[in-house]
Amino acid sequence: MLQALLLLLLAALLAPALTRLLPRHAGACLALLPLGIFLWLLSHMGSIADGQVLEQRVSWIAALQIAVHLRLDGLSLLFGLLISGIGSLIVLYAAGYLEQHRQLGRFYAYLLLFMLAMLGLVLADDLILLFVFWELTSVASFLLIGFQHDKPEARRAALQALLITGGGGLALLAGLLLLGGVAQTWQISSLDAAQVQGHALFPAIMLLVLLGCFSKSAQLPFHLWLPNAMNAPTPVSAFLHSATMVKAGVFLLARLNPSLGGSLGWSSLLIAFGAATALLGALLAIRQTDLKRLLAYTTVAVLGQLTMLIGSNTPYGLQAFVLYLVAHSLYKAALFMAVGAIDHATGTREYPRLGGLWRFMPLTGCAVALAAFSNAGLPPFFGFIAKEFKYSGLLELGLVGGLITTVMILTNALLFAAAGLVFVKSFLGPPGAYPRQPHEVSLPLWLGPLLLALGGFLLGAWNSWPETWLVNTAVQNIASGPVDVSLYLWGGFTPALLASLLTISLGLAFYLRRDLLLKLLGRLQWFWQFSGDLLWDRLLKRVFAVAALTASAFQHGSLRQHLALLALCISLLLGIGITWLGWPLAPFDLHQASLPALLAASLSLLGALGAAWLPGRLSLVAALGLSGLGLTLLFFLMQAPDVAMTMLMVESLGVVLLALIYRRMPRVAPQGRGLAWPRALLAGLFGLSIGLALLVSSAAPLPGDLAQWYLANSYGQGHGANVVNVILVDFRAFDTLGEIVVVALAMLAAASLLGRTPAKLGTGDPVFASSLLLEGLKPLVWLLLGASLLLLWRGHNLPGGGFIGGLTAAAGCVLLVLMHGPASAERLLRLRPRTLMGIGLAVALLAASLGLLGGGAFFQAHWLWLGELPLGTPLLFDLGVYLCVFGASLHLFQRLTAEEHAA
Amino acid sequence: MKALLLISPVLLPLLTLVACILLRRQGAWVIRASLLGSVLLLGCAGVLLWQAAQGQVLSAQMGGWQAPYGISLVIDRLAAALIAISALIGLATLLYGLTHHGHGRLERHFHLFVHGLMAGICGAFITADLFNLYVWFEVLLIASFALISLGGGPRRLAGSLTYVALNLLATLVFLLAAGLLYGSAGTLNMGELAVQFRSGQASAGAELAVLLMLLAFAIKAALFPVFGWLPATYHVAWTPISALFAGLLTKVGVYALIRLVTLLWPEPGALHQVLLWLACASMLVGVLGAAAQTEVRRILSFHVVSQVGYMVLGLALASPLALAGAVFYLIHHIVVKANLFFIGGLAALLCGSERLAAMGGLYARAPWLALLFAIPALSLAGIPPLSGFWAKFLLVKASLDLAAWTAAAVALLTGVFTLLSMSKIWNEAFLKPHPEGEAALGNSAGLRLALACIAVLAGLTLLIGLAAGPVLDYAQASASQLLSGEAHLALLAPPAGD
Amino acid sequence: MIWLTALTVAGLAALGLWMLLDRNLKRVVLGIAVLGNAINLAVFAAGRLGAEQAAFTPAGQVPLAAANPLPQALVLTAIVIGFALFAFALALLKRSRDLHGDRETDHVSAVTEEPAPDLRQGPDREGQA
Repeated sequence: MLQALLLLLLAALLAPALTRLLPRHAGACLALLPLGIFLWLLSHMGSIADGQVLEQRVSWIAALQIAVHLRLDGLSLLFGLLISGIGSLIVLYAAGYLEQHRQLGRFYAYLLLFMLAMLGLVLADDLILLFVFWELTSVASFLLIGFQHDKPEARRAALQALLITGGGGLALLAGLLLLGGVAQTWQISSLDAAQVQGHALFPAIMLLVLLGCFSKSAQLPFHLWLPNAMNAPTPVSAFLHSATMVKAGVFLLARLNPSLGGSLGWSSLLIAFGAATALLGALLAIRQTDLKRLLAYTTVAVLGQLTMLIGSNTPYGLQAFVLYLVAHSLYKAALFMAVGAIDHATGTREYPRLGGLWRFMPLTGCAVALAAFSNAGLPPFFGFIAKEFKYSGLLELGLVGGLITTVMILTNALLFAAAGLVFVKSFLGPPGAYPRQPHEVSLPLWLGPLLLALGGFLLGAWNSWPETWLVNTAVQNIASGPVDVSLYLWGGFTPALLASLLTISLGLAFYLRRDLLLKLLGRLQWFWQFSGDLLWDRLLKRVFAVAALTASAFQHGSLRQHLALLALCISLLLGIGITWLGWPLAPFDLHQASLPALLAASLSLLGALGAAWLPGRLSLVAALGLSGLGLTLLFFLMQAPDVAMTMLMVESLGVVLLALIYRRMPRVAPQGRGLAWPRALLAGLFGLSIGLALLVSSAAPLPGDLAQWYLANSYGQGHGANVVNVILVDFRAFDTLGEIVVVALAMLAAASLLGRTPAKLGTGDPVFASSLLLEGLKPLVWLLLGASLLLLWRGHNLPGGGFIGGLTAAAGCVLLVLMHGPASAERLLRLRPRTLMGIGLAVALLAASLGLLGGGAFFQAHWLWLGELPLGTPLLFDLGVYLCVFGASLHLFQRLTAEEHAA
Repeated sequence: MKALLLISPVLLPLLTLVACILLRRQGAWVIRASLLGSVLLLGCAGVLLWQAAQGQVLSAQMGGWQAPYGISLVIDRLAAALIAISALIGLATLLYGLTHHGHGRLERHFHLFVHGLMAGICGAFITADLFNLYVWFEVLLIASFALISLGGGPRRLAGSLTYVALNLLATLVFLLAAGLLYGSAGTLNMGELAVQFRSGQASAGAELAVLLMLLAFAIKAALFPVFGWLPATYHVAWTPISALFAGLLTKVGVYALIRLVTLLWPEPGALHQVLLWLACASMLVGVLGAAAQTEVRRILSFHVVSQVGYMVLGLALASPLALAGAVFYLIHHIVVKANLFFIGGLAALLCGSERLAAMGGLYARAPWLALLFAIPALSLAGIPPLSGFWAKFLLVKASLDLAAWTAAAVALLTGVFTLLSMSKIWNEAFLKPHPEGEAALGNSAGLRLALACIAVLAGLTLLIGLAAGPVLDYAQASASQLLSGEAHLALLAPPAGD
Repeated sequence: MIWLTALTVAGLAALGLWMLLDRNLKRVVLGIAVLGNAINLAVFAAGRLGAEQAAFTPAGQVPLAAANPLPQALVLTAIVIGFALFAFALALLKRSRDLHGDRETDHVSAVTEEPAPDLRQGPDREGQA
């Protein structure tokens, strides 16, 4: 079995290439594979009929106990024969039907892929494996419906079918997951009905599974995708949308009937939905003029009846299910193929334009006749037996059965009339007004329908054969207990026969007075409004409206709104969090604040206020600088000289940068008068929440001994007295590595944004062209460079270090660049700043990697003692930091001034 | 050797970065060095993955300083898997970029910053110190700033501005949270923090700080309601870059969320409940937003939001199976999403636009691209037997097992809408004839390498789907590793060498 | 001291956010700097205040009431990173002014929501701009 599936996969993959190689015979070659499978299945019919099963199991996902578990029993054999038998005829048919099509190879591929999925679906004995194939059939159907992809309606129909069956599939997945969870197994054949039905989740399981099956088998609210799917080429309609895929839903119902069926809820749901679908389908069918759509609606009607029959769960009902399934697959596939042939030959499928075709297409006519008789349920065709059993099965249900039987008589009479339209109206009578002169079609086009239609006749006439070999075991697989199967054409004068006679006479009446019937039906205007595609379109429109609304709530394109939302979330989180924790704030100590600290804090706040409010550019820059200065002072007062020095350097470089960039920009307009208070409120809330968060985190004494450990071990183990620096270059040097990478990347990125190629970096004019200044500042540059080296060197023990040193050196060179033009610093250093930065990074990485020598960790320090002087890799690392920060900052400033010159 | 291997995910990109900086003049050499670095990284990542699959946890103390005083690095299963996938996507992006484009300068910068980004991403995956995590987040952030603005253009620059402003705010929140966390918990080491939280001795301030940090991660991960920056910006970047971002960046945020939440709260609680609702909202809002879009990358961007919802759902459910689902989803999603952006870019290149209305005709003209699109697209929609199906399967099953009906329903409903979006792209860009006729379609002759990248990633998607067993085993093992926290708790024990 | 610091942090953060929400991009960029300063101060203060000595241990002597060195190292890192990001933001501002002139913040960011341009004239037109 697995081999068959794999062969189908292989064939699907090779089909396009094969079609290119053998454009004429590819179809016939490919049809051999399903034919082979058909024969192989036939060869097993005897043993299966004896009650044996064929099993194959390959483990797939062990952790979830999901296996590729295949099982050939009566039900799957029946379906397998239909799939492979009709399938091989369809492939052959497609070869004729789509002879000239450019993408015939792809068509074969999809068709074989579908066959694989469908065969896998019926063979699977694992719920999840079954689901895998289930979804694959939906995908294959999507591809096939949209095959004529330049037609918008085909694309729409494909999407509709995919969404409905795919959506239903997801409900099914939920149902199967629950089912597997409840039953503690994925294996279908070992599901325990009592265990499943006794569980509290059973109703949910049942509803979800039914949702999946109903959507696939086009039951009532979901039926609308099936007629639209007729946009697919005819072989697809014949195969997927009448004979096989749409039966997947009823197949699953049948498969699960032994474990889920039997309860009143199951039966009433199936019967109610099935009967309603059947009646609606038949009513809609009779209103169509396009033969293909007409057949599609009759398929809906039949699917409804099949669903209903499973729901009846009576011996006759289940036998009728199997019979009707086979009969319908045979005649409906034949009819579809024949209609395709008619379309091919005459150029139309509208029956009012057809008539008298028998003369031109006798072979097709023969096939249609046989199939239509079976469809109409006339003896001795298989369809007749199916109908007899159906009525018997329904009548077994008692009073409800009587009611349903009435509905079914109506339905079947309509189907009878529809069959008449297909055969009598099209083939007999006066010739129609064809768009082109009809002719008999080629062998691949008539062979399939004829064979299938003959099958329906033979099975009916010699009905003991299917009884023994096929129907019996299949019925046993569906029913929860043993069922006695015996088929007959003549069972005496039973109520079922009476119903049959009634059906036929009513059907005749419908056919003969169809104009009146249609007129009557046409009166139900309000009803047809609901049953069309309209609802679907309206639903989609709603969904898209909601989607657009959702999107626009977040896609406003306003940066300020985005920022405001983030800030609001932050404030709310902190506010709620603090409230939830019960406001554990640090004790109030504002009165203890020292005057200098108070002054420094006010300075920084005032500066920030200025930056927030002032209109001018220069005043903005100055205000920001002032704010930074205030903070620097605050850091000094709080005994953090390294932080303060870094802050100072950063602030000064930042101010220069700002000045350089703002120079060329217009002044900032004063604050607009607009509605400012929501913004102020949000800003206030944000600030408040952050301040409070700080107070919360400082409420208790600082836990842990990190600070003490660093203080205690800095000198002894890190060989440095400046604990902050030792942390930076040794204890937590990994942070610093990341940090210099950030600096390097940021400066490169900023420079790349400013976008001047270095080649154009000329000697251009200095920015401040005053000779006095030029000469006067020169010593300062040297002083700064010297100081930076000093800061670097002593950093390990005194305030300073790589950052501060690098920034100081950069400040010096920035002065140089401002005075002497962008190339001046390069001349002085004999290196491009970018190269300097690269070297700095390389040195830092080298220092870190040296630690790996001798099996140590990354960044493990190695020390050399020059007398009393410790020299170690952390110092080398600090040098790397220095070079990197220096080079990176200079790189940006150089690029910026070069840009100024170009501007 | 072990120490070198452990640090290689950060060291290799950094060395490549240095090489790119120093080789600035020699364009061809930059590319060679960059590709060599990527291949080496992928190799190391492969070894790491193999070791992690054996159950080995690599960890080290930077500088040899014991935890919590020094910075710890840990590579457990989750980290190893993510490093491997990231290395793969990084290499694929670089190769894809090679064919996608012909400018010299842009390309060299592209290589340089991609390596910066990789260093940041890998650093974030391996560190076990929260401030260090902040630093690596900054590295990847600044690299992403550079990348998103690469190439200029008014539209791209506007997008960069939005991206930079919003991410800067997020990163400041992270910094604040890290600082406050130290102030109230007295440590930055994840292991020590885990001890405090798991024993219920965490102070109020520490909880507040962690919550704030989770918010910062949620912004990075683009979780509802703070995802606005993502769909507003991803579509403006150069295609290979948006692919890289969509594949990897938000996932770093998700990773951080998973790491911290599982480490600190292995048992479900109130936080998980909140996350659950946020995850559901993300899923729904993401797919609904996507349904309203009419451009390929915008559709895909909104889907990132919805899929982040799936991953967070796994985290929120907190059962081993759910967490395994989240890990599985993470692995699957990175590959698929990056690939879809690659394909979308190629499709746009051939059609001359990425607006669906102006696309079409690819099904007839570029059948291979159509096939390669179908694989990740169906996988994203969760169609079996592709990788996305198993990811969703695990999450839905976990929700049903825990009776989280709403979550399961939302997850399934989201699947339908994802299918809708994917088939919309399929119908519009592939099936529909090109509005300007077939002649308007470009030529795919020069794009072989890009197609090859796409094919490899699509193959991986297929492989993850068909051989889901081993991946699932790995995901389950990493889930139990996450919940037990063993890798990080072991940091505090004195090193065995002493 | 902590309340004073917290008040400063709150004030700076509020002003920083206020500036971030400004219509003028120039002030938005400054807002990043101010907000960054606020957060840096908060991180520093979270390591506790009230030290009387800086964190220096000459010859291994740990002074009494020495400042906590760790937050200093963290803040130092953060300040340098902040500077780098600020520099990048300024470059972005300059570029944005070149391309968008003096449009308001929201008008600039709204450009992203315009439909995608065609790629007709070559593989990536935006790349050449």
